[in-house]
Amino acid sequence: MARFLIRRALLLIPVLWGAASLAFLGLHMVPGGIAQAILGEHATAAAVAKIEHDLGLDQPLYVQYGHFLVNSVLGRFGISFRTHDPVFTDIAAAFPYTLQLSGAALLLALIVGIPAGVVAAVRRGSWADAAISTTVLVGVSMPVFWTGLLLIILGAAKLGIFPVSGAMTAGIAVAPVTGLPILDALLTGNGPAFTDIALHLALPAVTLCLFPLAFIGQMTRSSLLEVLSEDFVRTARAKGLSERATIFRHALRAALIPVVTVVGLQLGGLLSGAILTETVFAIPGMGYLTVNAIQYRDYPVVEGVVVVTVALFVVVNLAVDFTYALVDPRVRYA
Amino acid sequence: MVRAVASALIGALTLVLVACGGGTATTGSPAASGSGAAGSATPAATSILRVAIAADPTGLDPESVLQNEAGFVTSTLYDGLTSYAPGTTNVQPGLAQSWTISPDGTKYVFTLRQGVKFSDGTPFNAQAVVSWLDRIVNKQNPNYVENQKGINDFNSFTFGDVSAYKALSDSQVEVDLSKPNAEFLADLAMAWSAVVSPAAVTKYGADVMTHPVGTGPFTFVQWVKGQYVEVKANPTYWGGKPKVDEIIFQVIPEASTRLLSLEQGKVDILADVAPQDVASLKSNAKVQVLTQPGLAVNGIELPTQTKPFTDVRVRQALNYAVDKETLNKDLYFGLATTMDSPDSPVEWSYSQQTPYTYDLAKAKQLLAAAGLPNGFQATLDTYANPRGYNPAGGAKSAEAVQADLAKAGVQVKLNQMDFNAFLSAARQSTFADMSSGGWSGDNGDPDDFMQPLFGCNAFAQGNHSHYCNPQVDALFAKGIATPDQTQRKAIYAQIESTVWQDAPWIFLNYATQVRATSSRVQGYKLNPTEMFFDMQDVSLSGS
Amino acid sequence: MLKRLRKQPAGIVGAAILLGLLLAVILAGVVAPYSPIAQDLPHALRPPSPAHWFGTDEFGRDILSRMLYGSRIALLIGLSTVAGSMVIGVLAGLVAGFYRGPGGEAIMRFMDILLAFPYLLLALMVVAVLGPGLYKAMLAVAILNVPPFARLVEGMALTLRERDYVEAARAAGAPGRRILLRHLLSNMWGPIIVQATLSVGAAITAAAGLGFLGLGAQPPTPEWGAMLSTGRDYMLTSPWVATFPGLAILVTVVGFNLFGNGLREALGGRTAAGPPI
Repeated sequence: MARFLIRRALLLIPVLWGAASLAFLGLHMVPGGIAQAILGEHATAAAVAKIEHDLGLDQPLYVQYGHFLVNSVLGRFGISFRTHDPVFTDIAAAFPYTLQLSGAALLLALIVGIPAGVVAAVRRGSWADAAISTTVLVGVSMPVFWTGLLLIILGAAKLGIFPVSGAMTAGIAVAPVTGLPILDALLTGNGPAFTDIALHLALPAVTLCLFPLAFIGQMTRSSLLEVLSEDFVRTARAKGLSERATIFRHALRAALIPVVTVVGLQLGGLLSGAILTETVFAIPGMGYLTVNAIQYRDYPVVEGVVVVTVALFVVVNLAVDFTYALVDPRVRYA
Repeated sequence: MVRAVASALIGALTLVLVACGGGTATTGSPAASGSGAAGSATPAATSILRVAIAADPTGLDPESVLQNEAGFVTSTLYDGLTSYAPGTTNVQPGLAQSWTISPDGTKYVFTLRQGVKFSDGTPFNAQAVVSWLDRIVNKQNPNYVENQKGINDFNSFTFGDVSAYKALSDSQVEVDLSKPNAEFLADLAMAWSAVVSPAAVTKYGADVMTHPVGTGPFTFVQWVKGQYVEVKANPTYWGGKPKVDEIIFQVIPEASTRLLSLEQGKVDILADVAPQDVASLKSNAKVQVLTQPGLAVNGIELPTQTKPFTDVRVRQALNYAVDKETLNKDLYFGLATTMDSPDSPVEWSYSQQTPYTYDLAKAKQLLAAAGLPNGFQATLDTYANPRGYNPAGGAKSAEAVQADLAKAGVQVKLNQMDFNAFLSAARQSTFADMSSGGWSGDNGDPDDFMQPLFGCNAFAQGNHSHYCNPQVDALFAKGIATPDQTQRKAIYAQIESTVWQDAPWIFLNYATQVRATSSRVQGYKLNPTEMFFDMQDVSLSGS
Repeated sequence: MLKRLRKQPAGIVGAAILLGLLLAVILAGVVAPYSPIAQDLPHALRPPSPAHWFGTDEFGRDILSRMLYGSRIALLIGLSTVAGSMVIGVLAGLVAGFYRGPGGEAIMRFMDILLAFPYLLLALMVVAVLGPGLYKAMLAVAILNVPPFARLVEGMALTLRERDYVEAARAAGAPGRRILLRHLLSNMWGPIIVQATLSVGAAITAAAGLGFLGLGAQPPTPEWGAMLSTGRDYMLTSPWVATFPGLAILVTVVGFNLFGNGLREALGGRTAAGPPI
């Protein structure tokens, strides 16, 4: 087990190197530069040349790549071209908002998705199954920004209950404890701030949760159905175990294996969904940071974001594989 | 067992509903206390003006940034030596009360306003102006602006000709130029030429970017990146005490969300209004819509050095083939007017030309005369997002032009890119496609407005049609070297008429500048440069 | 198998929706009341009326006609990109999950990179190399959808390869390829189909996202996603511009999903003898 973990941890290095290199090459392949992104029509040739020289973008690509590799190894992500802040500062400021949003969405998806899937599987063919399946289907079929706008129009414009945009009302401050605004508000007992943040979070989280919710619900249902028809379940039933015990003690555990995979998979989907959600709701998270950085060709930020996201992703996948092994002892560590 | 699962599901749903319901029950308060919460930190009577902006500023040092949103904020914090008369780009005194210019146009002597202080208490005087200029012009200055890597600025544009500067007394400064620059005074009024406190520069160095200190009507409080910038009134402002206590510039990227925020009273001013939303805003009694002819032009650049566009008859034919009036009325919701000069009507140099009124028969006739009775095929490069001079977005106007040109037999293929890639393609010397073109003026001077679009040396900037007329170029050179405005007016009138006849563009329209405010906002005036000047005059009724 | 599908009411509804879509694809030229690209600016942004059932867009074009013609593009994008990503993803997942080894490891870690890579950047990269346009956008979308298939198949292969019947087959000396095809693949079709049907919608909306950036189908092509993205600008003032293309995407994707589920039910999990396709 320890060997397995160490090996996978070591594998992180080539993966990060690959991702960073792909980001580096990709960015340099895409035409346009920071100078004209910011100056737009008003960028003179001289201004563009000066900025490119300042930022070392006039050097041959292999030289830039060399610098980039060395700096990455030394942990120097550099300074944002656009905000002139260290890239790490920008990422650290944005990350909690995305984590908070994705966490809330995933939690909602699990709380609703798994029981819904179980009900649909157990009462297969009933009206409950049909209703759940249809709801899930509609949910998964709705484009994220469309859902977001609908919710804004309903929840914010028509009902006037929820704030239209942002992560919290300007002027509200939360003492940092964990870095996650909503947790910090809770931990410091700051009631008004907590309510404010929760209200801001509600619509984006519902928007973002639909997709993983549908996947989780559907996976739970089909996986449970499959497991219910397997030998060991039949054996359990034959032994006279109650249906409830059969499902909860034997079937569900096995059925959750693919669900775990799906949850792991959804993290990638959550991040890209978060990009759109954050744009629609004006949440200053990683998605918002990434979109801006790509549009502005803010190379250091994009590279930093890619490295951080990929690292996070690989670690989560590792955890998924690990959970896999825990719930299904038949999976061996190679 | 089914019941157990069902109850588990119901339990889970209840949890969610409780979570939502908990919110619902308390909503009245946070929505109300949201604005109240910010207010509760300061005395009860605080009046806060909230301005919705589309992007986070990239910095707050006027000489180191060049981005509209940054300018919106810095124009409330700083003043320039000159300023624009409210609502116009006519130059008037600012921190300099008066000035004299030598007859050859190279020596300026400014007499400074007395008793003015920066918000950090540093006195504003001749010495402050000299150290401010030194930071911009002198490479040896330890805080030389250009020492910061990768900044975007207008310094070489405005201060590139500055050869010497000295304090003549405590209240007089002399600035010498290496060659006459007729737009220098207009340049000094731009948000990008504001005077920064020398003490702050010494203290913060390049970090004045996040610690702005000026003489303006408001002073900096805090900037929560990606969310908002907060500034508070400067009670001793030389131009009068501001009528609101605070301004919060709030970043809201999505257009429909901005609109809702205004309608719900969460913000007071929208810096950007999409044309399609204006009708609904106008019908809302709680909202006022402000418009002003824009300092902007919008059109389709034609590759004048590529066949068949080399023939002026072809270019004029395309101008006749597009129904600009319908375009303005229906695609721009009446918030654009048909171009009748390469110059904007808000500029003093504007001289009206004979419009290319929509005439399909004439277009076909001109094409036939050019030997193209069956039209021809071409590619039109464009981009999706709206720009200040084209609020419908490049692709929308291109799509409308495409349909009109097809009626004249000209088949246009659209090639949409992201804006940055588009600009980088159009600026190549080998570029030979039609392209979406446009420009927003910076300082209200005709040289800034037309030279980057029609000058022979501007291919890598705004002249994507590669238009190069030596006669026009000679006039541009004469215009910038002539100090007298009456003489200049005659020169630019000649330029405008020649460019108009040469038709290097399909001249489309002047976009109207639109902003919306809640009806509580009083005394707010648009400026053609779009900046938030004179905000000390703005008040909120009922607060 | 078709007989069993008939017993799935949801599957039948799905099939009916897809049949409707197919009819739209075939008959668009006959039933569409207007040309999908004919502009009529003076009648721009008109609400639904007897003359224009679904209203008009910002150029005065008939939204119903554009939607009918758009069904062709939607079907093309949805089916071809998913088919492409499925083939590549399943192969990659099988290799990684069954044979494992450094090669398999490399494949899966590359999938991690792709999954975590910002979608916008990936799309911009593809477009930078190939230029903008519908087919290039489809390629970007297909690449984007490979990792979920690979991950899913790898996960299943990891589990299945340890199953008794696979171990038995191996002990009996069956060659790897046969085990792969007969025992593994045949047991995976259910989840793969679920994944594929769900991906159709994702593919259509992803292409829409590219259309929104101006990197996908070029105007005036009536692509649903681009129509939806445009409609976003008019969401508050002329909601029908976004509503109908949004509904079209929704209904189509629901159709694919219902049909996929029905198919899956009809196959009855592992009782199916072999791959249904």
